[in-house]
Amino acid sequence: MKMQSLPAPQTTAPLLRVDNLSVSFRTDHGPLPALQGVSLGVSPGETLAVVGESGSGKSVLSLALMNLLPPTATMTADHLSFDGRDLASLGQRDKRALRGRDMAMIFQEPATALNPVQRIGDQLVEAILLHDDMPRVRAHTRAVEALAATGIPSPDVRARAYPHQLSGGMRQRALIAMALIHRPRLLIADEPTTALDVTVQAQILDLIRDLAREVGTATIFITHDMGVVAEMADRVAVLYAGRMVEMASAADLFDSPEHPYTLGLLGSMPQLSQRGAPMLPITGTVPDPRHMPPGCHFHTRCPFANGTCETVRPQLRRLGPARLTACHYAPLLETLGART
Amino acid sequence: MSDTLTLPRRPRRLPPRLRRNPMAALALGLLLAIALAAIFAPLLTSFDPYETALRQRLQGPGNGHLLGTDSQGRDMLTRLLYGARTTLMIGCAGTAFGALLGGSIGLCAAFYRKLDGVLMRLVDVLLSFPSILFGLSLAAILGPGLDSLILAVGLSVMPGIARISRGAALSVMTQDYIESGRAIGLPDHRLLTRYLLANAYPPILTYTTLAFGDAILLAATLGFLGLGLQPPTAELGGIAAEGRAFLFIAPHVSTAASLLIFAIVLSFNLLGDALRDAGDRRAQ
Repeated sequence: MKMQSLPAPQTTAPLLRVDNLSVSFRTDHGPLPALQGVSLGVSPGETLAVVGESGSGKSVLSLALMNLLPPTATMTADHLSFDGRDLASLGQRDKRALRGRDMAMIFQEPATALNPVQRIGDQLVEAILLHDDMPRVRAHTRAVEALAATGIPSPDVRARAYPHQLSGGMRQRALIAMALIHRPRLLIADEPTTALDVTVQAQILDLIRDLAREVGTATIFITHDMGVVAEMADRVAVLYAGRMVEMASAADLFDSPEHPYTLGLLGSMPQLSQRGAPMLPITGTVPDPRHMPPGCHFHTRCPFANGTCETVRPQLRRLGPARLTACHYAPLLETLGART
Repeated sequence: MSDTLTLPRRPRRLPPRLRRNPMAALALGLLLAIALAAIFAPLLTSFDPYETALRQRLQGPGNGHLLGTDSQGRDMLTRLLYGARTTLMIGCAGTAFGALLGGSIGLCAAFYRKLDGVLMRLVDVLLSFPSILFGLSLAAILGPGLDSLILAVGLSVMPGIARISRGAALSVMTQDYIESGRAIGLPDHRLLTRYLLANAYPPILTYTTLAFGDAILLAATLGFLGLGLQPPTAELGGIAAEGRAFLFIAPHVSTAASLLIFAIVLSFNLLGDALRDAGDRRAQ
């Protein structure tokens, strides 16, 4: 069954555009759909946050966009282009040339994303020389400069360190330095602060934002933390069980979430301004992708669900110029207001 | 403050481990001594390993010959030194060949999952033969000679190394840095060497050390069975076989050669065990 896809709302010509992206994994128990009919785009200089809880497919999305899916995955898309070039038509060599130079990625676990047997500086030098032809000595100087730009103290000494000799925050800084060293046009950050201390988190977020702004990259920021979204995002795409359920500008999303799942994500956030106010967690867990409930995938956990939701799957609907929602009852306020 | 910042030195691991394991230290020392003696054999003995002196045949130890003489009156110590030279050389070259081939197969099987099935079934077929039988038939097919011996020994140790390499590489493949290496655009050959091999090598090295002992044993066995290098070439298995005919009147010939083989193989096994223990402790 092919899902009707709405083009993602855009303000300027997108740098990266993907329409109707689906990814599934081959397993012993048959295909396991991870993403279904996701369409989105990012423009230069813009930060798009992709939100969802564990298992919603957000990490698969980042790997699919980087063309780093494992061989057990099959990916289909009506359209997938970067800077006007159709990615499907590029060969392995051209795709590899894009990776690291034009599109870069920051990983979730700084503890394991660096090669443990290579010095930090050597890994940076390797990354530089892969896409730039220059003498090794100059590459090393550039590597140290890049480390310094991320605020690592004594960058020349750290460049000689092995990953296990650095703290988590410093490793993440080194990874950021590596990701941004070629001034990529697209940066995909996959939960870059999840594994870090709260105090370090804010610093790393600031760093990514400042460097990305300086370089002018488009950023896709993958996270489950609505606080991080408020901090970083221009626009937000909400994923639930492999499907996009809402897309809105960050301001709109926080002002008036239109999908009950988004509402739930916001309700799960502790509020400093309303001390003592109860948090409203979403009950239950993401359904097993092999046994998706019929109708709306969220209806088993949705406080507003009724008969229609159990049988008819809501399609993404346009609610405003830059606003899409997949809920029968959107806009929520009007419908629910009328119901009560 | 930051001017004085220094990084802790990478701890040197092996020597303390060996000190804690005196047997392994002894084995390493013995191996080094045997290898050096074999390499510098021409300097250590004034006898010629091939010059026969039939009037002095089968003499017991003493009388100017430290370990006596063999059935052709050749100095046994000299024969053993030169024999160890040949046997160690076959073992070394065979193991190196097997490790290179097996390591490549194992790493490729883990890295290119599509090749995994084909490569590993191939290895399984080789693994299903007992290595002695396999080496025997190969040496018989290829005919006696240094090249075919090395090939036979190499192909016999290869399957085990391939399996171990694949296992070690598979666990490294699940690590994030492989993905992040891909994300910066590293080509496959660099990922294979600097990321995969560089992180997966410890168990491969340990197993290869153990395989070394097997390789020596196989080389000596083939020599003993007459499928190795042909006489008069000095080779430990061959010397043991020659002495068999005179076991009752001159037991020192076979005994000395056999003991030397035993010492070499045991040393490799002890060393391999110690390396494995060191690896296990590091993993904890």
